[in-house]
Amino acid sequence: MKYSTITSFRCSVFLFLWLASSCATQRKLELVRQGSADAHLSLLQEERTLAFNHTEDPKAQDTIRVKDLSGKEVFLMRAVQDEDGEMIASEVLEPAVITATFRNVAERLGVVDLQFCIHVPASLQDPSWQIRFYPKLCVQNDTLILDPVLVTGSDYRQRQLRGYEAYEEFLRSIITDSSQLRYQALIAHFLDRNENNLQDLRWEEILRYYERRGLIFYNNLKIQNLDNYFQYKVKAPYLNCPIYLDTPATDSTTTHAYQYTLRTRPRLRKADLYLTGEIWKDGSLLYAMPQSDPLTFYISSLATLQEDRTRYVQRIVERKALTKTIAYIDFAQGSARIDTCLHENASELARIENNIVELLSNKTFLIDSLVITSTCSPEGRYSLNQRLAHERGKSLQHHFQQFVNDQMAKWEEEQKQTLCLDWTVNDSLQTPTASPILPPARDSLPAFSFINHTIPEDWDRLKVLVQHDSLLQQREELLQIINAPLAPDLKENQLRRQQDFGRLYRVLFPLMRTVRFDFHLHRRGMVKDTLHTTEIDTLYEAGKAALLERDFEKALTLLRPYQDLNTAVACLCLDYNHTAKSILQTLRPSGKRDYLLALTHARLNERQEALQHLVHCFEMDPSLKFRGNLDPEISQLMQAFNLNEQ
Amino acid sequence: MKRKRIPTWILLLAFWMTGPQIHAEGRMFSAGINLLSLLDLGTFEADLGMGLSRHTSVHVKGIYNPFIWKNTGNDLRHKQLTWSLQGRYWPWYQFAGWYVGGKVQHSLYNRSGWKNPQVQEGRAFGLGAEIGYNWMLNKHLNLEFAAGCWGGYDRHHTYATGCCGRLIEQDKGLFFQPDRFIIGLQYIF
Repeated sequence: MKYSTITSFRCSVFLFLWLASSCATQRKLELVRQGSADAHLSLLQEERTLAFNHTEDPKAQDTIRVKDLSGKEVFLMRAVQDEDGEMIASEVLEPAVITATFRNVAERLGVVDLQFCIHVPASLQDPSWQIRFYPKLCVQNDTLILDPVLVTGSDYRQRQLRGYEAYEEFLRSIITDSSQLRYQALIAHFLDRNENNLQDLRWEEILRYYERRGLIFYNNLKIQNLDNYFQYKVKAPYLNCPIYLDTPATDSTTTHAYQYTLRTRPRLRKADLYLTGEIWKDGSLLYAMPQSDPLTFYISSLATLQEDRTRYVQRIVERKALTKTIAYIDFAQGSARIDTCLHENASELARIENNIVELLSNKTFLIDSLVITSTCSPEGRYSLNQRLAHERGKSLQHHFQQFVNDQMAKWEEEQKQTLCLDWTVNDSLQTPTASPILPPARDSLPAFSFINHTIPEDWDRLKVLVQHDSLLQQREELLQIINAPLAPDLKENQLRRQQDFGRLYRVLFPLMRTVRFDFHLHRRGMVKDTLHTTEIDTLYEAGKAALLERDFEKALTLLRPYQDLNTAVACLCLDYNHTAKSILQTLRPSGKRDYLLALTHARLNERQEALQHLVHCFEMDPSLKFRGNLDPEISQLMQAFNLNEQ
Repeated sequence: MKRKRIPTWILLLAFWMTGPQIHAEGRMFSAGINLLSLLDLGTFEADLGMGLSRHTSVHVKGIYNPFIWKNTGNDLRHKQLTWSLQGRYWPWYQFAGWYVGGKVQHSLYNRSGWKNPQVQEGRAFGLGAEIGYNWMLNKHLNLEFAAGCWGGYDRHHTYATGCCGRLIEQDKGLFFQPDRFIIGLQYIF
């Protein structure tokens, strides 16, 4: 009887405590939902102790409202005596803490370090909870979720660990060694007994027979149900992502510092940081905290100190221009007739015709003349080759002359049709037009001359071909013959006696039968032979753009030849301090130049020179004082020597 | 009870099985006893076997019990001389693992004392089946478990007592009954 009384008493005490704790947790959750206990962000800064009179109880009331005997309300206040001896009521106000919500940070070497604190009040922490804080960074149009910070209660952690221990025990019970899944002793006895009779047996057969099938089945069942068992035992699994910090919950307000290095992007000016959070218990979400107010980081970069200047380069434009092309047009032996079916003649002629049409349609150039130079290979008599080359040249000239005439006629016809159509349309609409509509770029149909030039036997070309042909065995002898001061026919006879003449005839001679087209052009509307113009230096502009885009390597590559302030800015962005210093020292003093020089000296720990240049800079351009707060190297100097006040 | 001679051909067969072929290359032999049968009033049961192939073996078994156990009440006896010739099929390998067997068996018996002092004496001949399992203990030793049954033709006399008793009954006919339960040791060589 006594025992049962004690047992029931213990049970009721336990039940009471359990109910009390769960009620307390519920109450805490209600407080959190109402917003009475919220985590918040703040900038990372040194703790400032506020001047506070600790002898007085800050919660003590200075003003008390009482009723006198007649029921009238009277205020009793603290009073102090002033210098005149008069008693004056006074009230001590509680100190107000003002927290900054933005900070200027400087970008260096393409990255920015964002530092902030997460404050977790004691009322938000509970032993059975895990609070997950997710800092969220909004950068331009992107949102980055940073690595979470976890505040884990002791009970939550214990349950978590117990779950994992149980799961690990389950994992250990799974047999991974296949030898344990067989009757090894039986296999050994069997082999011992039958060692002379195993020629008909395969090893796999023996292993399969002596498997412990029940154990294998049970083992496989465990493996198949790994995930299910994990979910059953581990109610609160670890987060499957990188975690910044996992700290135990305490009874007091805690502050956790956080640093994130952000790689800057082009035109990045600021980044907004928000805090979201979740409260978890036993693996289920209890409460999702609303997003906090933002912390703003204004990002300053040295690249904004670049000079917005434009550089020009001088360009010389000439009136005349020359373009050449070579065509391999074959003729039948002894014939000057153009046969489009022969070899590649059709495609070569079409190519030249396209070139002519493009040049005729060109908006910048006009054709003055077309020089057709046709050459022959040296076989045959020189006089015959001379006549043949001339006739072939004439033939080509006639061909292309006809082509140009046909093309011009075709364009004229198109022009007329376009005009007629426009007038017809206008007639139907009964709206007379002021002037006819002409097709563009063909308003002046050019006329140019054809000049025929021949090289009957192009021995110079043959010489070049022989020099570059590595398969000729008698190259030196051939060159001697080619260079000899003999008549062409005699040289040809000597060549015929050479061993390599076969190759010359088959391979090199066809390459000599070419037609070269030299188009002599001039610029439309240009009268002078040369024109000197200045145009914007696109390379310099690209370098400046690269600076703005934070592509400092590319910017330095493009700006290095100019050795000006922008080059120095690119060097400083890449921390090439000595190079920047040497460039800046050659430039004419100016506010920006001296500011950058001060920054360079500060980086190189040359404080004297840094201060000197800083003072000069502020004298020349006082607005740069405000810029100084954005660059840590300068702001440290300004604070150390109180340059803000001066 | 009349003593019966063991037929000669059984002896020859045993000699052939236990003779010079003992050490024939690749052939295995076994010799075993049934420990459980000793509980049957001291019945001694032994068998000799010879492997024929990977899956088959042939066995000769003898069961002998000459004892009469004197009791305050009835004398207990299960005297018998039984021999059988059994063929076994081993699904895995001879003398290893499961087997099923068929046998031809002849038994001379004289038993009494279980329920009453009457003695039943007779001869039975028939066919039987057996199923068992051999667990290898080491290279030469097996632990054998088996159970069998048999049926056939039986002829017996029933006497009032074991010694000079009055003939009560004389019967013959077909029978079927569980035969053996074996927990024994086999020596393989």
